[in-house]
Amino acid sequence: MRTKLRWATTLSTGLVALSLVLSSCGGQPAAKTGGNGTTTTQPQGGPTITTAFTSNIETLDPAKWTDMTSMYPMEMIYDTLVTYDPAQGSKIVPDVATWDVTPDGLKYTFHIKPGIKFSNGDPLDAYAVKYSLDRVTSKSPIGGGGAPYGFAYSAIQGYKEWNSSGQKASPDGKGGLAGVKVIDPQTLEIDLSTPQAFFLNTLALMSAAIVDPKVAEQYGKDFSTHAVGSGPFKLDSWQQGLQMTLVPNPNYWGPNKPKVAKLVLKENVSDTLQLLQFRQGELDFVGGPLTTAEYAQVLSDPKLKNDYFKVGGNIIYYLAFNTTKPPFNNPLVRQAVNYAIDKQQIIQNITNGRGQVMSQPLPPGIPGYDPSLQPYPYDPAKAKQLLQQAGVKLPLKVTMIYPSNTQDHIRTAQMVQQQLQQIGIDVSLQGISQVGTYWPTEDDPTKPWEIAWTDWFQDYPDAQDFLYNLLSKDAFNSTNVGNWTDPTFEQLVTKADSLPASQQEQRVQLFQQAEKIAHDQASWVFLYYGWYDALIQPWLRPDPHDPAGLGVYLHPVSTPRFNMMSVQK
Amino acid sequence: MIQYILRRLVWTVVTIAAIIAVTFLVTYAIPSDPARVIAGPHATPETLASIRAALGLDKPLLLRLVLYFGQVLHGDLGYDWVMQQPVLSMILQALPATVYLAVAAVACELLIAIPIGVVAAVRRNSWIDQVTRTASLVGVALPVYWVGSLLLLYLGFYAGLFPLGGFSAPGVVLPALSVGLTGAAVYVRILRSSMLEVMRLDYVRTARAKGLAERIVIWRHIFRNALIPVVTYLGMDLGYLLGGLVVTEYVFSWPGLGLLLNHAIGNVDGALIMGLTMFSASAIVVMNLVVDIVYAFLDPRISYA
Amino acid sequence: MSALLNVPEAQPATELSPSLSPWRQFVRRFFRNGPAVFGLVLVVVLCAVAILAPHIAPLDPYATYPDGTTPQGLPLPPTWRWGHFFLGTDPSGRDVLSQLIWGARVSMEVGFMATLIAVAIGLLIGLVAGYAGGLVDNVLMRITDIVLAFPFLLFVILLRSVISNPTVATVYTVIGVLGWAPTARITRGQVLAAKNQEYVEAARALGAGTARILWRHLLPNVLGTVIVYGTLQVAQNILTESALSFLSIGVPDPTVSWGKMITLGLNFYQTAPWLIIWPGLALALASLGFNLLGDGLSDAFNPRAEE
Repeated sequence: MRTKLRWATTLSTGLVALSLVLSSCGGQPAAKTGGNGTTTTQPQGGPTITTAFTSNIETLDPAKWTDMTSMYPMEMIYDTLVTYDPAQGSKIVPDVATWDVTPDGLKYTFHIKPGIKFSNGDPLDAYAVKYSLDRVTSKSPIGGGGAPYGFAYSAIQGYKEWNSSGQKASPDGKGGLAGVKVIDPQTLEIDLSTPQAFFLNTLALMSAAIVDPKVAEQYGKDFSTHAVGSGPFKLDSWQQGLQMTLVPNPNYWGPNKPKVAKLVLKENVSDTLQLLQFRQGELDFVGGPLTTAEYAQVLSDPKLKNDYFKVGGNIIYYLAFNTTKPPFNNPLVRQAVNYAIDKQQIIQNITNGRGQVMSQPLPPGIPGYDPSLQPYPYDPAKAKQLLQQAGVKLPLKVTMIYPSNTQDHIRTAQMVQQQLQQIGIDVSLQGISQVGTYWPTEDDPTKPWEIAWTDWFQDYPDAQDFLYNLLSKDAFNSTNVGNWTDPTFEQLVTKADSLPASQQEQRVQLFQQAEKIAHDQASWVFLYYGWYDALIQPWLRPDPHDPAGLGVYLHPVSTPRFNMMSVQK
Repeated sequence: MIQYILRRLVWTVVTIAAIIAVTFLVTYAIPSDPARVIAGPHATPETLASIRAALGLDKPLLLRLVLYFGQVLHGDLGYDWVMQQPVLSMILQALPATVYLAVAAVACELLIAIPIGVVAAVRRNSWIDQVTRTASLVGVALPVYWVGSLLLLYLGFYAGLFPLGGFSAPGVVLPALSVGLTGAAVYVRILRSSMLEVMRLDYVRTARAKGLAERIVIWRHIFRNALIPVVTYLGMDLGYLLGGLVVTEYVFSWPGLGLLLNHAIGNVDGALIMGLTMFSASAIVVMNLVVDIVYAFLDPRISYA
Repeated sequence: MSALLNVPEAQPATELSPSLSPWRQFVRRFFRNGPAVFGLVLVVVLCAVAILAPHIAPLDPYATYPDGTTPQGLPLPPTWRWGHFFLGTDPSGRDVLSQLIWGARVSMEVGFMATLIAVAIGLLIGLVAGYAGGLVDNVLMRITDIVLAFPFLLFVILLRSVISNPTVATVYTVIGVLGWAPTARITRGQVLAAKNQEYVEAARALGAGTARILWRHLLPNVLGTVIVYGTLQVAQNILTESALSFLSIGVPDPTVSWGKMITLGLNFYQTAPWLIIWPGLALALASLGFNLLGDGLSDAFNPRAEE
């Protein structure tokens, strides 16, 4: 997932469904609310957790969800079939259901824990799960152009037929995805048309959040503002663009019941203000990754240093080459640029040391990472020699694009420009934030640029999320920003993707071979690996049994689990 | 009088029509394509074409402009596909905060400007006049976001006197003060020079001759009459004020139209930028109309032939 | 806008003592006005800095010096040693003083060019409207009224933000193209006042053509007022550019301007206050200089306004 650039947040594979949008955006019958989902609870005593975001919370509807900010409340409002182990971030564990899987990886059977209720008292059963999956994969779930993340479930049998049928999900368990079958209210079977090792990971995404079918049917496309799930918190009030308040869900079934009376999520508060408010105690939690300006204060204030937490998450920052035209269709030139950029200086100056020099597309935490691959060292002389060898005429003029919405990005671009100048490459900078320029990588297959700054925040801890989404042919002109490709690489990754999870070892081997190709071919300029960090008030520290602080976070996108935080106040 | 009001009314309608046309045509130049937003990056050309047809984007420009006029007349500023909300409802949601801040900001400007302006005029060319005039020039020379950030840091954070941004009654003080400090200079000048002008008039001399206390002469006779140009300028100043608010709201995360515009710029959101510009420009034109009409009733010196 | 108000009423400069030429009178009045001279000095110094930037900047403003930050990557405070990050560095390890000096270039360029464009358009429209009168005047002034009714900064933002691949020229063109209306108004007023003066009538009687009358007789008469207004507008345009930079739609990267320096500095103002203090001061001095100069010119042109 790419933050900040909202149009880039979709995964790559499928497509985003298309249909005529207008047909359904007209008459929404004014649904009469019959006490449904509006049970007023007395706020219990206890402290309030307040946090803030620089942007809007866009939606609470899994069928509209694309952005990271919305995950904060959504993770608290909804449950999913499976989730990530709080202690070991990347391990999938049961959430509302345990599961069996056949050795070929094609048939999953989920046993839903009995007695789970939505916050309004409706039962959460296999029908609700099927409805939620049908809804997010249907072409017209809410009257928009299809759920942005619907294609993440394209391995399920009957996905294509259901998606192209244009029908709406039905709460009675009929129709919908052929591969999702309600056996009985506590048992759900999912059949895949092809093995998919990371299938369970997709069920932990917020697009697979389980919604209350009754409420979803009642409110249709306005479900977002009336969201009902079975998570530890429930929606209390939401002044869109200002702030959202969540209160504990009285019906919550899980072991980690919230220890606070309220969770307040403030929207549209700038980074600068967030930090001031945190220092003054108005905010209890400032989520990351922190900007360098914020981190600079952490470095210079001993008190803040104490509240600073480095918490996992896998983020890669890299420069994509436009490989569809000279000069960067030549691996020698790409290698030269890799040698010419001093990544260590970028890490020091742009992130104040919060990074690790990158050697290959996968970050170290992902199975498939090859520790034997070394980063390209900073060696301008070698770079010049490679340029000469490639027969490039200097000075070489290229255009670099980058999102100019944060100072850190702008400064990175300027630093890259400076460093490439040393080897005779003239970079003209083109910041992408002004109206009128879509991220040209996504929108314009002609690609009027040579280098693009970009980043990737993992969706789930599987090599597929990086290698397939960022470097395969299927992702051309989309998340494969520079259209880099290599036949052997393509073969290896496709093969690894078709293996079930039971053959993980073989997958890792295939991915490692693919990694070597990407490294040697210099598919990108490998800049650095980053991670999430956060500021947390002393009274609200992560679970004491989990000193690493991972417990606050839900892999893979590292949104905090406020219900698990211990409270000393 | 009636004729004057009618003329102003017609003129306002023409101006608003021009505003709508200009914003529409300028925004038309934005290659941000709603069809693309809806369909996502992987859509086929056929899909895009069909969505464009459904949205009416394939019609000729002039026809679309006419249709857009019709739409606006029905109070519909379009649907924003990026934010997935109607443009007008987003604007109306943010409007109260901006109006609130604008009123507070003007109050601040006047609170600063009136004492300084009066003193500067009464003791003209004294050191106090020189100092206040220079100080107000320095005020106008500073960027509002610079002043705002420093106020936020020193009065808000270190002194802890005011909330750190956000929408609240005490929270309005700092943003209003930022606008006030940078905008007051103009009012100081106007007030000073109009006071000086009034002071020369005969009736002031008469009042003095009658032995009225200087304080009464200044406040009741001079100041009151000198306020007229200040009020006039208030009306003219609205557009400028709004520009300042765009920047100020961003500094203080004040949830008004300016913050909305900032997000629209960042999100490549043509529909919202167009709606915001059009709405605020039209609002200002209407406000000017109201000021003029009220003024026509109040000030008998203006002739409306 | 502030500058609007400083414009003297349309009136010919009278009250000249016969012993001195008008020009000498003007100069004498101007130089007797302390603040005005101070403004002139400020403006001259800034222009000199802008023009001589490549020669006086101690370091390359764009170079990211590895020793320009602490080992943790934090910016350095002022060292007060010329050529050694005199006024400190920014978080990328660039020299603030050199950026400030080069920033003067961009700020001055935008300020002057935008004003030039605005004044050129405004003069043309004002002269034509004022001289032609009748329908032409009516139409032109109605258009001017519409442009005046537009909230200036909003339309600058709108117009600027639809342009991809901007240059510095884009920025000043946008500001200039939207800023001509006040000049047109003022010019028209001056022309109307001057039109019936004897020398214009005399020129007409002698058979001078319209263009010639506009060019030779009306323009010089109007110019004084317009120069005053333009001087004040420069200050305002410099501030407008900085506001655009603040909204991240200013001059393109990596070009450095004071507005962009402040914008970067605002993120760091608690840890590195020098990042906003210097460019803020520079901006304030520039704006102050042009305002004082404009006021002084106005007073000198128009002695009665001097109180």
